[in-house]
Amino acid sequence: MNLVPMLYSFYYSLTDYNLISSANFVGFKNYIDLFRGNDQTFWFSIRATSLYALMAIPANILFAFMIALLLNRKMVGRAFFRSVFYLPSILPAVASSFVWILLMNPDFGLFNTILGGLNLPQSQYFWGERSVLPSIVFMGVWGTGSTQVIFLAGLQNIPQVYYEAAEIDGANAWSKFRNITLPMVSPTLFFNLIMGIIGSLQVFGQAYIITSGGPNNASLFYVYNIWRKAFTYREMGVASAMGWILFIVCVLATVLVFKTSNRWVYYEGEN
Amino acid sequence: MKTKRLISVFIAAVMIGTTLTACNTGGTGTGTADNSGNQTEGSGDVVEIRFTEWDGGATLQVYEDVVAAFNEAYDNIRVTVMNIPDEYETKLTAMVVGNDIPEISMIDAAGLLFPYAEEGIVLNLNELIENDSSFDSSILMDQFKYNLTEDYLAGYGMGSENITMFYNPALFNEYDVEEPPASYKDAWDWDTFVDNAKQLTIDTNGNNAASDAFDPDNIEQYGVSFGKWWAIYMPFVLSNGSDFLSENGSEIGLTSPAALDALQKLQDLIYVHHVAPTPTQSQNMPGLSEAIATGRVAMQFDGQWSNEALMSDDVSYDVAALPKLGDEAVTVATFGSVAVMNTDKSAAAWEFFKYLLSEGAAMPLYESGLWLPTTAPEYTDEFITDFITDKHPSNYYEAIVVPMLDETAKPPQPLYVRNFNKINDALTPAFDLIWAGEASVADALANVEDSVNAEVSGFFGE
Repeated sequence: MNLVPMLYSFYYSLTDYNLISSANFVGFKNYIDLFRGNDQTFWFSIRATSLYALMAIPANILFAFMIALLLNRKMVGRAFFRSVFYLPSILPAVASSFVWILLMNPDFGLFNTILGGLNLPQSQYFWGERSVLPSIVFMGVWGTGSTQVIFLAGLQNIPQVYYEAAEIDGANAWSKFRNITLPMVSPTLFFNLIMGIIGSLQVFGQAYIITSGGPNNASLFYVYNIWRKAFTYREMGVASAMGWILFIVCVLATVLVFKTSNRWVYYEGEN
Repeated sequence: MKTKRLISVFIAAVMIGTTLTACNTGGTGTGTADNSGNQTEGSGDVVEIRFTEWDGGATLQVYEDVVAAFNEAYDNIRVTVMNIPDEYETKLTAMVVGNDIPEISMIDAAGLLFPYAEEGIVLNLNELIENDSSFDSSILMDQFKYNLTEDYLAGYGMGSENITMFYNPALFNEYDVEEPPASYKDAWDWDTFVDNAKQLTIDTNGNNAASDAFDPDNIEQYGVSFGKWWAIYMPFVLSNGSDFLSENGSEIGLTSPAALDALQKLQDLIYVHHVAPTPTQSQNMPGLSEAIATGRVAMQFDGQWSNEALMSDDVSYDVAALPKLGDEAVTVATFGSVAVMNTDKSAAAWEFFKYLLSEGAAMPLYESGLWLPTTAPEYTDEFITDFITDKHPSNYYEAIVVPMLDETAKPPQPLYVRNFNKINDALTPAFDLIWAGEASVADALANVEDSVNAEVSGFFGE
């Protein structure tokens, strides 16, 4: 079902299609122009997206995993906390973005007010060229509810008998985590890693809603750039070419992770 | 195990592909929608046409009223307003690609108007005018013509609005500052303007920006506030004798010494004189009505359309001429463009086009302060005095209407600058730094000059 539009977009990536006039075949010109940097924004957007992915993937996975570990403990109000931590991920992105815009306002936002009160250095957040990406990552960590749920499901699949056996052998909390929990959730971790890579390479909403790619192109994410090329400038040919480059990068990244996975992913019943 | 892995890779690939193609084909996908509403009319049948536009609120209401009156007057044509508030251009393009072209549309000149005209999707109004002996083309004013080439009139302006200065007379009175002149002929020079803005910028201790004890980190009342987009900075660039592009249209004009000087003076208002809020401080500012009414700002450069809100909120305010940098003060007018699309119902669309521009059709929008007229019969003294109500600020005629008549209000840059949107986007990274005070105007623009010039491609109408 998806094959037809995909093939179409590949065809268009070899043309100068602009939606309103007929498409002329230009061979690999779009690809060559992009890599040559005739349009600087291509490399700006690769830079912004790579930096974001490098920060967001580990941050999201670590945070979601930690929250899942906490929510897996027996404690009072567990169901309540599970809902609370999942809640942000069902909020509409536009609504939560506006809350973050207010929180992170450099002049009157809550964060800088607290930092200022404690005499700590303040940040420009979304409005600073260097702080915009970390701010978006920070905001994203808050919305990792579904990753948390997947981790939680993975954690609950671990049979209690392993822990009981380990306790009898005198294992402490760390060695239980290191030798039981971590290997047993590694398939879940693996899944979340793949999803995290794909998701962060396709980051779009924050640039669209909050930053418009700024300041000074620092958050000009790749997919936002595709969108802008396609729908603002109507350069469908170039946008399709960029889409295919992203597709290939995603596949390569996924294959790479799969290749290394046998070293660290443990499947039960396999050995 | 091997097969399991291959399957997983395949599934992952399909998942990526799904999201990718959804993104890539979003526009064309919707475009394949049915075009059943596009049948050719039979003789005597009612011709149904659609008028697309993006405005909501009072403007939409007026469009609806105009359409209702038109439908009443014309038995054989039925117009419907198609309001598209978000992603207007994307949706319009989707309709065009899907061969479901609306018959008459408001189109932004910075975006699609001229590309459509180049493809013949937007008709040449000159041809429609020539074929219609009943139409008096002298009602059209040159300044509102969106000419693709000398002979190709792609669109005509509707709902003119110009950039002006709003101010709170009570604050001028309180701090004993002379009110700004209404007429552009007497406009303040820049130094007078800055001096007065300093008198009107007050910190939490009650010191003004001219005083040595002034604390720029805790400002309670700003002397001036202004938007950070082209229509706001262009009047000062033009007044200083420069323009958006160089004279021959071969390169960006904003890097000329006169333009750099104008833009630097605007940046200095924020970071040197501390009389205007930074972009992030502006976020804390209420809307113009409230900012003026509560004394958060003394002056604001903004679009004349803001009169509507101020007037309906009963704010006590007035308008004045923008200050000048060079020999004469100027402003910039902005206006949407209405275009007749290339469909087999263009004759009906042309009838509606004429009706939209007929005298008094948009009267409620002139009376509310939102719009100014764009045709000659509506710029007669009689008509103007008719639409200026007692709610309009007292300088309205002098500061806002007169500039349209004596060419003080210059045409918007998208009317004559080719490829405006891309040039503007290429400039944005530099303006990010300029308004954030992270670089001087000259340094910031020098950084983007090459990528901006790569997008420059001359003027329209030649």
